[in-house]
Order: sequence, then structure tokens, then C-alpha cells
Amino acid sequence: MPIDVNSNGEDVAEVNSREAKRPTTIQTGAYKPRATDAGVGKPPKHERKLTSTVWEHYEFLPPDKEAEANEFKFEVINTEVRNCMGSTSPFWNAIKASFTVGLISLTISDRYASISHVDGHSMSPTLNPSHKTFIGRLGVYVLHPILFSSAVVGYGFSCGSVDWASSLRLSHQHDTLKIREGHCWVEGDNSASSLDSRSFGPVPLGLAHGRVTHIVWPPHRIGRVERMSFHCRHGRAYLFDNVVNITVGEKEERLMMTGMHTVVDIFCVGCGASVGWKYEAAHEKSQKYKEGKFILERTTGYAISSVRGHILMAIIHIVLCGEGVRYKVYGPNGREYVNSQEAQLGSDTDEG
Amino acid sequence: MRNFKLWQSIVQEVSNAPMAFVKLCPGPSMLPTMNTSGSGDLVLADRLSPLLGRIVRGDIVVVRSPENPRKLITKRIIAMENDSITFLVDPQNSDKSESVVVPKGHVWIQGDNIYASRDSRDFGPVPYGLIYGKVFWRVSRQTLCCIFLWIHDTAFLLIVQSCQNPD
Repeated sequence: MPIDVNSNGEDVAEVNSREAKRPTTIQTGAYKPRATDAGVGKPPKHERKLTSTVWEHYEFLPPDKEAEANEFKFEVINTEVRNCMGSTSPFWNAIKASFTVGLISLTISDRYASISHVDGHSMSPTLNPSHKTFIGRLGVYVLHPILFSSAVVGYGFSCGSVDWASSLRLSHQHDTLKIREGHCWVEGDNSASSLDSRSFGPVPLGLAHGRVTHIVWPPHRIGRVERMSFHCRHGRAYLFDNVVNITVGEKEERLMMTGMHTVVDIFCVGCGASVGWKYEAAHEKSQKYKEGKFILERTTGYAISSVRGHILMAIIHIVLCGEGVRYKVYGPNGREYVNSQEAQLGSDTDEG
Repeated sequence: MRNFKLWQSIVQEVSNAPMAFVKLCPGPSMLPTMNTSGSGDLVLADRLSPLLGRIVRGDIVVVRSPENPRKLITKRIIAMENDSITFLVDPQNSDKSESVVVPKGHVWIQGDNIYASRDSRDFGPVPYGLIYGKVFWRVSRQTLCCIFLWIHDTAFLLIVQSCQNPD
């Protein structure tokens, strides 16, 4: 009688008889690995659904013979055979899923964006406590000073790596200092209760963790956080070679953040308002560059117009106290730039 | 030129994995610990150690430069916070030395080659938050050459084999 052989090289009749013996449904209950199987007592790992091979490798234990089952006792649940020993599958799946999610979120928050909590009142009213803010990472800038994790808005470093910041420390101790390359000056919006660069100095830019772009909680405050130009009382100050329409006061020794300086206050000739001061002498060697130069504070009623690419183009001081406006405009290298008698409010643009 | 810089920054971003990263050290500031022949040594650094606080004196760390936040520099930690350190200001020209106490939250980093290294002696103590990773492995040039040759030979053999078997 010819023996039919199928593609696997097996006898067709044998295969048919074997198929006939296969139970059509899986019997639920206890299973035991077959002794005749080639020495393996564990289910094949890659086959969690042992629907077709359950009968091949494991034999069903009738209820009265359940005592025979050793540690490799299996239960059939929904045509999947799972090991009863050890943790149950849903728990293990949850652990694996949470680990994956954790890893992905760690990567995203490290590189692209993250959400951060706001503590403290140093950023009122822009950001109040119990806010959650969305931090975009692609712009660098802002956040995470050395010691604290409260959100502090960073401001004010211009592209040219040289900037001066004027700050009001305790009691009317104005000072300007040059911010080093690669550093920035951070301040909180609520300057009364904010521990910021006025205490710990300029902050290296590498510490900036990300830029706050949005507020995501609470719902009525969802929105974009605007980058604002500085409007505080003690804003930016500029160092000038030449200033006109001023009178000088008396010399005094003033202890500033950067050391002892001899300064004279300067006042507007029209109204007598203080517009800044002039450095007569600096006692520290590193501050000698300031000698003979003027500091004009931005919030004393004059307008500055700036042209992109230059830190400062011209200064127009507007005398608000009396009639008529006298001013002269000087460029940064001392040459006269424009001479006009009209009262004109220039545009106050920030170069940032 | 612009495209090249864009690609460079993209590659830099991608290669800064949160776990471990590879860095090339081409400068002379860490001689003789690290060689500079060719384009320098390759080091492996992990990013978990600074976050877990497992940095001690004597570790070689990768630090974001306080002068240029886009640059990573490799130096050794000489002192941690609240240590007082005495260092030679300019060893090539003078014998002057200074003492300084490292403030809280900062570390003092110095290159092994103090004659040609721009480190904390120039820009002062560095905040701990700037530490980017801790170097734990250095791939010497010999190993690199062997690996490269191995890759080259394997690729060559594979190509030759695939040419011979008309698959």
C-alpha cells in the first residue's frame, strides 16, 4: 500500500489519526506535563496560547487525581494556560506597562517638554502657587536656579553676551554690574518676596532647565505665559560715555554689590529729578572700566529708541517739568545724532 | 553652513540620552589621564550619578561650561561644597597660590593638566546642577582601532560572501 507523505515528511495517515484524537475544546481544570515529553516541565515560553499544543504536552488531570500535580500545575482560563505559581499576569502586565510609560515620559520630559509645579509667591501675579506650568525645552532659557526649584522668570541677556543689570538692593543701594558671558540675571515678578539673582548673583545659563510656555492648571488660568519686557521699578540701566542736560551732585562713597565706588548723583537740569549717577572712581580693579561713565536708569522718564543690532542707538531725555523740551541726541560714540526741538516720544523697544 | 549647524545640534540633542552617553575629549586639559592624539579619547559617561548624588572628590565629570551653556567640558572634581581648597593661580609663570572655600551647592573642578586647562581657577566654583554626567569608562585608542578594524573586516567579509553567493 503506498504510503502518502505530506510536505513535512510525515505519514498522512498518522497525521490524520492524530488530528482525530485532538479534543476540540480545551478542558478547564488542572493540567500536568506529560511524562513522555522530552524532559521539559515548563510550558514553552513563546506560546501562551497553548490551544493546540496543550493536549500534546500536557495531560488533563481529572479532579480526583489533582493531588498528583506538582508545582507545574496549570489552569486553563479562556483557552490560555497560565502558571498558577507566582504573580498573576495582570499585575505583571501593569508593571511592565508602567515601566515603559515611565521610561518614555522620562525621555520626553528630559528633552522636549515637561510639566512643573509652582511653589511660593515669588512669581505673583504671573504664576501663583498651585499652578502647573508647561515647560518647553527647545528654547533653553529660564528656570531652576542653583538651590531652589521655585519657578523664577529669567530675563535680560542680550545676544552679545554683555549686559548690564541695575538692581535695587535693600535700601536704595543701586548698583550696576556686568553680567559674565554665559550667565543670566533672574528675578521673580514679585520682587518683594523673591529670592533671586539679587541675592545669589548671576546664574549660569546651563542651569536653565526650560522655558515656561503655558499654564495648564487650574482650568480658568489655562493659557500662554507671555514673555514680558521688564517693567519693574528697577529696570535696566545703561552705561554711557556722554550725557547732556544734567547737573551733578556731591561726591560720595557708596558701597555697591561690586565693591566700593565714588559716585556723584546726576539730576535733570529742568526738573531736578534724579536720573542716575556717574562713577568717579572705582576701588576694585575689575570695576575700573566704569570710571568716568554715567548710569542712566530707564524708569526716570526718558525714552530710548533702539535699532536692531545695536544695544542702544540714541537717547532722548524728555523734560517733563517745564515748557519746551530741550534735548540733544547722542550716539553711543559721542557724536551728535539728531537735533530737534520737538517733544517727541520715541518708541521704547526692547532689544531682547 | 546653516544646515550643518542644524544637523550638529540635532545630533548633539539625540546623542544626549538620559542614561549614558559618549563624549569625545579632544583638548589637552586632562593630560596625561586622557590622550589627545588624533581627535582625542572617547569616554562613556552616565547621567544618573549626578542626579543620585553619587559624585565624590576625584571623579572625572562632564560639566556644562558656565561660560558657554552649549559646551560640555570634562574635568576632575577636586573639592565639594564647604571644602577649602588651595590652588596655584598660574603655575607656569608664578608660584602664587590662593585659598578659597567652596560655597554650598558648588563644586571645584580642575583639569589634570593645570598648565593648559580652563577650569574653576578661571571661572570660580561651579554649581552642582551644571554637572551633566560622570565618566566611568574610557575607550582607549587601541580598543577603538580594534573595534573599527573588526567592523571593517566583518563588513568586508559579508560583502564578499554576498557577492559570491548569487542570492
